[in-house]
Amino acid sequence: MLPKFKCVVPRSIKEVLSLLSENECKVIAGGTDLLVELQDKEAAPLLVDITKISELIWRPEERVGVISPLFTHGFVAESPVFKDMFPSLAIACSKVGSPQIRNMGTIGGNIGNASPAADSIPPLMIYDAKVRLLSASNERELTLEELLVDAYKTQIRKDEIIASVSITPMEGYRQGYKRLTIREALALSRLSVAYAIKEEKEKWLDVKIAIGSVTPVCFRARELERALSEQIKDRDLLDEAIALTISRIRGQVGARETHKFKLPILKNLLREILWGGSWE
Amino acid sequence: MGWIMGIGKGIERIDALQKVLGTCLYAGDIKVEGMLFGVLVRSERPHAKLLEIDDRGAWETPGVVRVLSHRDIPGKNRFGVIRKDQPYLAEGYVRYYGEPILLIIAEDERSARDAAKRIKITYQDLPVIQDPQGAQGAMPIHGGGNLLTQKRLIKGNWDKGFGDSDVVVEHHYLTHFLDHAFLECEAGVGYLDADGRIVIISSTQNIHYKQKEVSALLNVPESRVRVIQAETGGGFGGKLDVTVEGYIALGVFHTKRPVMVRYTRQESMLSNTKRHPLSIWYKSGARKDGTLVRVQVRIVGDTGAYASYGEVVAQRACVHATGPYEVANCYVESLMYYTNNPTAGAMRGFGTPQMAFAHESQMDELASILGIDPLEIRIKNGLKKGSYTATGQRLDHSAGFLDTLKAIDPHWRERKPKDGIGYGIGCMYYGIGNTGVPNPSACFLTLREDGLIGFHLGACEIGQGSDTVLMQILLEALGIEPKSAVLVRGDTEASLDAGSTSASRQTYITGRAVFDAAMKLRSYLDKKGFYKGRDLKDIYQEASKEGMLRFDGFFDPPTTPLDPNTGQGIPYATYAFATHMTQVEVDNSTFRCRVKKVIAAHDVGRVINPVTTKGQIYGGIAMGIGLALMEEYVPQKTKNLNQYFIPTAMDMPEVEVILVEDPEPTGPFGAKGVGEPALIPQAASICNAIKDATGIRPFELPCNFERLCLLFEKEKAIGSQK
Repeated sequence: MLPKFKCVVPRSIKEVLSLLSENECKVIAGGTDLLVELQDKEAAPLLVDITKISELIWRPEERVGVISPLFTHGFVAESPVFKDMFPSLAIACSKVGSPQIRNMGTIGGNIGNASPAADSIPPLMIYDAKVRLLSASNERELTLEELLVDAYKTQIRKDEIIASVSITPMEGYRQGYKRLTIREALALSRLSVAYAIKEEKEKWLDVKIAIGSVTPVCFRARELERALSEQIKDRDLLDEAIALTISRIRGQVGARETHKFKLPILKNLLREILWGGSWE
Repeated sequence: MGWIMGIGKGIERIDALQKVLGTCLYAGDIKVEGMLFGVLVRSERPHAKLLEIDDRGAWETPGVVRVLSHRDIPGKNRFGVIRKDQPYLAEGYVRYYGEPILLIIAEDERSARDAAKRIKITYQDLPVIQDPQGAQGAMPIHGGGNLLTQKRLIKGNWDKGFGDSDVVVEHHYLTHFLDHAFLECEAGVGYLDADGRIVIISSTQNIHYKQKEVSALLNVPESRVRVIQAETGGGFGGKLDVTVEGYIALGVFHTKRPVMVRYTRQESMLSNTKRHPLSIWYKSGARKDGTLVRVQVRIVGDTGAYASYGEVVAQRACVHATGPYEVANCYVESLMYYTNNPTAGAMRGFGTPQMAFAHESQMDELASILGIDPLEIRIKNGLKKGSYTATGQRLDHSAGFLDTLKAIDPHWRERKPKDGIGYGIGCMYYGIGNTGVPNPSACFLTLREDGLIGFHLGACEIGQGSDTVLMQILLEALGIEPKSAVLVRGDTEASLDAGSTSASRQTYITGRAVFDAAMKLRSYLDKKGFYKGRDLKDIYQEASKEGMLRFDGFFDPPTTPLDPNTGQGIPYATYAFATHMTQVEVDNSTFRCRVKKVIAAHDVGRVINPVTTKGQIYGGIAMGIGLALMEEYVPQKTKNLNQYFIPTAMDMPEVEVILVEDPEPTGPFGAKGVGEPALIPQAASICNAIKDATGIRPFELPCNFERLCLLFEKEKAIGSQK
């Protein structure tokens, strides 16, 4: 049962920032994470609903590559701009939860919640996402990788909101998103890989890989990217590069029971993504 | 003669409109003036002595009316379908995590829930038994040892060893706890009527059983308790045991006010009975030509903290251990232990889906070693008319198993091998009704002053469609139009005991009772000229004078008890048979298995309503996908549906249903049952398809990508050692 709570609905960024600077409160957009978190809690903070702030709403074609924190997963998944220019992100958003959750959950919320299994984060990372944060007294921009500190922990201060997220299109790249779930819909990713690969038939030119649900924070597999970019395609080289990423994961979080199946599957997925076709 | 409804027609369900429109009231939606709410305080330990309960915090919560403990129970603080070993409220000890200790009654639900959190309980932990294998020698949970029951089945030269077999296959199969995950959680409301009797309206599968339990709990005659079934959003066996009814009764008894108890999903998952985990050692021997010679099976089950249906599941697992095959020599031993896990109870199939996983895997393994086609080996050994089952029962009629296999045959031949694609067969037989015990059903019909026929049913409609099917049987038997009959269902005050909606028994047993009542009424109506056009209102006047206003129907399928030493006997009057063929796709990289297509052939005796029959089969397939690939309840860890994965519509394959009709002479118009049969072979067929696709055989369910990956890695490691 949800505790009783109060919710205010400011109409401008200025209004929301002043509320945040003066009160103990929590920003709510879609509420698909927050309302679940509040279940069975004794009390709730003041909720500040930012979904009615017109300054945070624009059409994707008006500001290409600039994502509103209020864009829902469903909107991104269906938007021609995202489907054409940022297909990895559009695919990832189309996999989130169910239609109901996709229609409520937002990109800003997905970043702010900072779940290791967030579907939008790995694709945002391969598009080199930068997050613009606003507070009553300050404005700053962090890369998404800088912003994410730990599982469910970010650098976003209590008086800040996400004002926008900028991403860079990867023209000429093969792009996509793969996730592993126990069932088709309504399931968190147990493992996810976003990718953008620029290649020739025999050569990897540039490789961008981001991995979710294996470590507390989604990450760009830069060691693998460096090992493969500008290299002639080679199975042994690829396996060595994958091994680098796997040992990085092991080094970062140690031995985990779930890694017994996640790491072999990650290896298979990376082979499939980078090699294409059948490995055998 | 009047309009005939038509057996075998897919008429619209009589409850369809209100459910589609959302106007149907489920128990938790009911509002009664002045209604209080009851919430349970539950154990946070799996096994402990209760040292101290401090309820002051609850009393400080505004709105709290009563805090009830076992001391407030006027009658017996024990319930149980077979063995009354489960307390409504703990008496000094708790035996599983989530066991109810106190019942808080408050003016509103929020206050009751707040108060429940403020109860402080001091526990003294006791050793916890989690594994039934270790339960034998461990500290007794109930006194008298932890073995709940031991069933045995022996047949033929059961003790001769496998010397007469050319091939022997031996494996160990393992299944885990499952939750029913019905859409509607347990709920109900109760109040005192004008005569001071307790009325309970709840989501249930068996009103008359609940009436008996509440009467014993309150120490009042059964006539002082009325139980009405609310519209019920699924049961699958999980609403057979007492759920909210006892607590509602207790609340009403003490406050004299209406009381509602409704569980949240967390409470439901914590407290509801589960599917029994079974550990199955299975050894099969066959001759070179594929003839099964003998099986030897040992089953160890976990009934959790209380007995519930543990004995029934142990027995059914034993009886169905061979699957739908004729095996001359059998030795089956089935043990069920108490542990400190949640209570396992009835769940669609009573242990048979677990057994089908084992016996169908065995059949495929034998076929593979012998180089025989999996379908052929099943045809060779399949039960047919004149066959003897494992319990020594001769099948004289309605044994259409081979027809289900033959129906699958053309599809089986057409299968196309492709990388990552696999095909599997799963078969089952299932005894309709309770095992080797009387399980009668009764109903009655009335002639009414308004010229309609009152149709009084105690059989609970839980979403499966019994109202519609039983109505079709009535209309057909009487030869009347739908608008001539009025259904009065699920009220102990206005119906006879039809037994539980379980064991796939309502169409067959209650259907036959309805047929019986209808034939009596029909003969009376015929005498009175109804079929020559005389008006029912007119007949009513005459019947009223003659005292002929009520016509009772009854049926109890002929069975014999099983011999306690040999397990031989006639446990069921009839059996359903089925074959499922499943196509799966297993992703090479992720080991994720998707079920692509299922062809399901069922011998249902006679199809009463093809739409509802198919509905049951679609649902059974969905549940089988859950059992095979997704669902696993881990005690104390699985708390809600975000951790317990049931298939969604997105996981449903293409399904083709083939209905085989080998009529059952004792059934209504030849019908048997399909509720559980729909599920039973599905997981087995998926596992066989996974083996076909990957070369890896799952021995533990669910076979999710995690388990399949680990099996693959193990196989690879063994391969590289060689």
